[in-house]
Amino acid sequence: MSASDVASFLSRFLAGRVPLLLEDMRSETDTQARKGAKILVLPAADLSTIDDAGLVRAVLHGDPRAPRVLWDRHARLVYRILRRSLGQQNDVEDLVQEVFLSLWKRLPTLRDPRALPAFLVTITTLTLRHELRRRWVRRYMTLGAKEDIGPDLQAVHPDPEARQAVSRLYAILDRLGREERIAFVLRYIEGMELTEVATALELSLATAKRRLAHARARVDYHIARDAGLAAYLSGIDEESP
Amino acid sequence: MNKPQDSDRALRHLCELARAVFTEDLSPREQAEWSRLEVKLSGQPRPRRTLAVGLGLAAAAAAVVLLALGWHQTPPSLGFRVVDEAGVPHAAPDLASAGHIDFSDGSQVALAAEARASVTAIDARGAHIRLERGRLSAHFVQLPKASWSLAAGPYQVLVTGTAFDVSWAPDTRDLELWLRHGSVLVKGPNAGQGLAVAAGQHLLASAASGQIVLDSMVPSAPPAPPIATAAQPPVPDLAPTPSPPSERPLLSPRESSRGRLAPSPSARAPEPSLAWPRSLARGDFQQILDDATHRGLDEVLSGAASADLAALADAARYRRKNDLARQALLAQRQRFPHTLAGRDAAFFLGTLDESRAGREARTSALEWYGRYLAENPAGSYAGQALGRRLALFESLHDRAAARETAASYLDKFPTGPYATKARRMVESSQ
Repeated sequence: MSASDVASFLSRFLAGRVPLLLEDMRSETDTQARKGAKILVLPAADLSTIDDAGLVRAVLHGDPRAPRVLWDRHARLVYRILRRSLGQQNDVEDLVQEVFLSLWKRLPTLRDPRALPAFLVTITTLTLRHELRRRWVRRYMTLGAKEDIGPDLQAVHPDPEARQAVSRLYAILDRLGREERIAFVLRYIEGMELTEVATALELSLATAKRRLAHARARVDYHIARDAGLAAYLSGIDEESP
Repeated sequence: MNKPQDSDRALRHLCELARAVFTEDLSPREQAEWSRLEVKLSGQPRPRRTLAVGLGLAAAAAAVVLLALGWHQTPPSLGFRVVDEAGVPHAAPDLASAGHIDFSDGSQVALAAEARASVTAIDARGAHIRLERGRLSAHFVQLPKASWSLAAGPYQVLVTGTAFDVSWAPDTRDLELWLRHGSVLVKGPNAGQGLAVAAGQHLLASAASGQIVLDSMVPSAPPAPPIATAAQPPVPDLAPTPSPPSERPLLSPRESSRGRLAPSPSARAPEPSLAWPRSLARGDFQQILDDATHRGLDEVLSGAASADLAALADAARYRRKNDLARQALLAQRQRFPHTLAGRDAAFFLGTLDESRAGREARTSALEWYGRYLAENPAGSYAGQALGRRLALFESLHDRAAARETAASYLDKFPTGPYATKARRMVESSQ
């Protein structure tokens, strides 16, 4: 290996401030070459302080510390989207696992490592689609017996009327198609921008807009015709909840 | 509720309620989910609940039977003795220097001259050893539930039946470990939840800088010192051995720039470095680009050292100056074709082409990836290059080439990130 090889290696390693796995250190001219040596350099940088791009590179280069940091940083986002989409606070652990396993498989295809959160949201929505389909099939196979996916809100909101209202909202979301439901949640509950919703659902902006408009119209329609909700909403203040 | 503003207000209210209800707070059980994921990621089979329950019941039944029989004898603690280099039992039984420690289960720890260690705790399953300075060679007998650990400075080496050499330099605060058999988990500064070191690997950790290097053991790594036996005087051959030649330069840019390793014959006489690699390390990408412009791009591309060209290409890529990155990579390939950086440049040229739109760009990317694979069949980016070729053939609707690439990918990287796509492609053609 030549000095320039080493310098090149160093520059790439130092530039990324992440480890580099150099699998082939062989050189035709260097009889001292370490044939087949695998070198993993873990820099001093604290991974918890580096940005997502650095973190992705660290995962891809095999830094054993990186997956945990990635989990710590982004697991909450995945939990939150799954809970808000499914309308259940608990028992989403298996889906979170599924999302992260899928992320690990797909991470090498992430072109811009800075886009990690958006990439993770896309994977989460894919997982959600499969899960909603699975639940729909199960419900269909059990001849309409409603699966117990209602939110367990007892512990998370003190107001029983508010809990009831949220339950009714998710009953309405159950009437939407999978795509519409996810689009609605991302836009109106998660508060994402239209472009972010389109990216997450891998749709064009125009299609995403149409889908959201349709979802919104259906939700409005059902809210207006839900007597319980109407009674609850008539009593809210302008600045509530 | 008939007016649009009523509808907006109602929806906003309900969505805010949903946000308040479904939060991102994690329960302790959810926080502990990482460990389950870690097992899956490491490829270990998920523990079967039924088996665990069965084993638990069996263990409980066995415990009841043993208690009923009055069997509650705890296993005796291990014993040990410390022998100095002349084979004489040491006066201070918890301290060894240039001698060895024999444990009653057959485990042995041999200390080099000037080394100093102590046994700080011992029980039936193993002992805790503190290495205060110098190097020692350890061989721990692999027994069920064995629990050995070694501390050196701020580092902890958690051991399961294994053999390794470890050294600790209190002045430089460097820990070095060569693992011959088994596996250990090293904990300490910058090692996160612990760094697994496997047989055949070498670890160098600097508590001063926080840097850790984990690499393969090489023939020049220190030979396993002889562990003393009863028949042999315990004089371990633990003279300090220089580190493998190519490890230290990787840690120190200054050393590497001095050229401890022979330069590639393909390169011209080494040009003076512009110190761009250091600027790159600091994240001063724009400074590199400005400096290159100031010096004149033609002059830089034709005269800069390989390391500087690589730094320029990286800085340009990070700043999305793809044209400049391409020029630097092409210069790298032209001027340093047989270096690692020169060969890697082909891969990066492929990624640059992929970032452009159009069929021509994709075809060009295919060629660069192909060239990289021809020059680096086992290179760091071989898996990615082959996977990208697979995706590119597919996007160009060249199904025959895609299938052939998929088969080749599966052959070389059966669990790689493109394996699912490759498998689907191979299966669809059958």
